[in-house]
Amino acid sequence: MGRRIFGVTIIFIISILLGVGSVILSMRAYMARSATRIANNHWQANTLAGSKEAGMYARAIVAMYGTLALNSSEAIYFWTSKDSEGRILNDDCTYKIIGNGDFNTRWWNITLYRDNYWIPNPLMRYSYSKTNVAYEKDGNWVIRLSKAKQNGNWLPVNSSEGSLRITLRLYNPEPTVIDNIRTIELPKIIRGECR
Amino acid sequence: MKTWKKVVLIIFVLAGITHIVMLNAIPYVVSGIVKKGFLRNGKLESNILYHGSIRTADQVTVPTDNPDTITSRLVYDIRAKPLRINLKIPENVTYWSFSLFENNLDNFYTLNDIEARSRYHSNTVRLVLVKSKDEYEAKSSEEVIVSPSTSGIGLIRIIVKDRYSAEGQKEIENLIKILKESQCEIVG
Repeated sequence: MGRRIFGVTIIFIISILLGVGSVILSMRAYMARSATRIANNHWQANTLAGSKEAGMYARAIVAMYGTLALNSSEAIYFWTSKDSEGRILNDDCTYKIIGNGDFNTRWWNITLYRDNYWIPNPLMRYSYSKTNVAYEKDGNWVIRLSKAKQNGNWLPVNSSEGSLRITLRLYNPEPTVIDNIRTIELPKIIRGECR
Repeated sequence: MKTWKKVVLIIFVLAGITHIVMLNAIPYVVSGIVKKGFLRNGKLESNILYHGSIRTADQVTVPTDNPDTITSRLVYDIRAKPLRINLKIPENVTYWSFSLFENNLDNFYTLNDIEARSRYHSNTVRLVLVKSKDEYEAKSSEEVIVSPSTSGIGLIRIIVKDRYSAEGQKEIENLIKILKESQCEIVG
């Protein structure tokens, strides 16, 4: 009898571990190559964020990593953890985020995160937006991302554990943005000096 | 069937059930954590709009929060009675919206400032949140919204032009004053 209870307990534990492990692996796989995930260069988006049409994988991922996201007609969220050459963002490097003017949207902003949270810094600067970025004379803009102070638009990075992520939010995007989400021009992220 | 084959089959079936249950539970668990955080572990009450301000990195509780917004938060519970939500929209705002999220964090309702002004021709909006349509008879100035779950989250978002400038700080002060005119009350 005791042996039987022990056996059932072991089977139960193995099943739970397998179930939990498969959830973690399938969510990672979903984030990497889901059909609903949209890739535009190294930016990603999921137009099902916040939507009732989201399946159980999308819903679980948005709940964890994009909590309280609005649906795509209200806001589109693009994110990346890589530069324009596909290299993982490294906090020992300097980057230029280069935008070609404004987007076809009511308002936009760019925010820097470490493990999905703002990076503490003495300036308390976490973002730049359509209404506060300093534009170049030609209407383009450049945001520099680095530990060392930079002139112009500067998003400070600190030394800490965890991965960097840049999010671009487009509020009330024009329908053409949603229709051409895989091809619209998004900011380039150019890596500079690394120390 | 041999015993070991039965054991493997049972393990796979149970693992599959665990997989589906866990995936479906994640949004509800996250929703519970967010609600608990919004209500500061029971120190605040549900069915009240709590108005926030600009936050700093050490004050953020929600992942991938937008630093350029000020928000008002509501944890609603309409099991007993409907909830009336009176909203005031600031003039010349960069972006304002009120959104509702059911218990699995699906965004089932959003109204932004442009839609609200076009629909109501006013800066004041009166919504009544109910669990079923026949529970409440709407007055002419009200919009009745049926919530898919009896509890959930409401969020007012206002985008600030420039939180980092002195001018932006003045705008924030004014926006917070207007934000405080938005309130909730239980109906009946």
